[in-house]
Amino acid sequence: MSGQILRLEPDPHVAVQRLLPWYLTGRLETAEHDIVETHLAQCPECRAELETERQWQLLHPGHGAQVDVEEGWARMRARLSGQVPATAPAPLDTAMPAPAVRRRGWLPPAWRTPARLPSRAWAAPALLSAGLAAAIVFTLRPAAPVAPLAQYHGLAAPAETSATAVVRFRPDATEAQIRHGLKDSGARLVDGPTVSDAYVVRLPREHYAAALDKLRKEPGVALVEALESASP
Amino acid sequence: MNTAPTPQPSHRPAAAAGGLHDDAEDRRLVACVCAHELAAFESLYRRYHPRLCRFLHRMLRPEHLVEEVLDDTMIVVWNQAERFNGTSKVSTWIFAIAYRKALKALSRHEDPVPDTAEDDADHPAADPAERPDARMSLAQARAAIDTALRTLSADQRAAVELTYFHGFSYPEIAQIVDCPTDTVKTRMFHARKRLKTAFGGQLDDWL
Repeated sequence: MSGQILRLEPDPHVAVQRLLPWYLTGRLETAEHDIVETHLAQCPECRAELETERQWQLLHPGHGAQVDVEEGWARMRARLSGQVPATAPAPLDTAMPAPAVRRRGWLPPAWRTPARLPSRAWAAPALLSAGLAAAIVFTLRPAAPVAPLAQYHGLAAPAETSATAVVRFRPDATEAQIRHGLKDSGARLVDGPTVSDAYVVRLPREHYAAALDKLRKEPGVALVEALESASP
Repeated sequence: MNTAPTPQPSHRPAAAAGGLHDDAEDRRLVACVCAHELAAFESLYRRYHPRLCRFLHRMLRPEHLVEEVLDDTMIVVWNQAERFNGTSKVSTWIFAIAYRKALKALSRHEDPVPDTAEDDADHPAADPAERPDARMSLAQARAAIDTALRTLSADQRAAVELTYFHGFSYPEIAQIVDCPTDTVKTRMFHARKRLKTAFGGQLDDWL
């Protein structure tokens, strides 16, 4: 820290010895370094102390806790994916990241208010838009608090045959790109958007790695992160 | 023996055992984390994981506490990246968060060792008859020092670890532990004194 006023101890030996640890690690500012070096050149007592300090540094234990970074990151990722709002999510058209999507009005008006969703509309898989919106609506019903990820059961295959991943779409992704990406990879939206505008999707476990790859190559996709091991 | 000290090639920071991170890269990553870019956060997490593990292991002890506090620290980094104002290094900022989290964990799980290092009357020198065999290996000496380090207060352990292993300057340590710079020097001075007392001052016997 330049410009720092140096206040030395009345005893120059004590003053220098207090600085020895950082002298040895090379972390003293120029002025203090020069003071220490000048004193050491003239003081055998402090030079001996310096040598003792050097030995202490050599002996300082070099081990630490054996905490696996991969396990740690997997735990962190799971914790981040659980950061979803506890209150009812915003209507879908404001939650989608792309202004272009809203301008196109790709959602029928009825679907923009999930509470008015006809109860059996999700049962029409031939209507892709309806099916997609239904999957979102089913899991984003405003009355229900957001459950931990592990408890979600979407319209896709049961949890044991599917695996989850986090997807973030590009801000300029179109509805067609999003729909194509999800359909082509076999993904089903199950949660989101999170505070970082990410969505959680379920992918077929049998082709998990390939599905992740496909999603990553989609033009509308900005980020894909696997949440589980790729092995079946 | 009156010999001149070994000249230091440079007084500018040299990489300590723990390594000094490229602060410019850290800042770039933090800026991306502000935008909630998960890939950048993962990079930052991996860069700091070994250092934080090492530091927290020194501050705490049970492994599950190390993991818990490390996770809590990095969650703060994720959620509050915009609070990094650039007046310190990123490493100083992250270690400061880790230090506060560690102190909270200590207050919940352990009786803290009081910071009474000024008075070594209660810590007499080791009885020479009880000193380990001088032929003890370096690894055993380090293990014994590890044990002695646990007798220090949390503040003293932090000063020792942040200096010897993580290579922080004493002003940076003052920022991390939020105390005056003179207090850091004092804690370090007394910590070293206490460690030497625990070994009877016969350091050469261990080597």
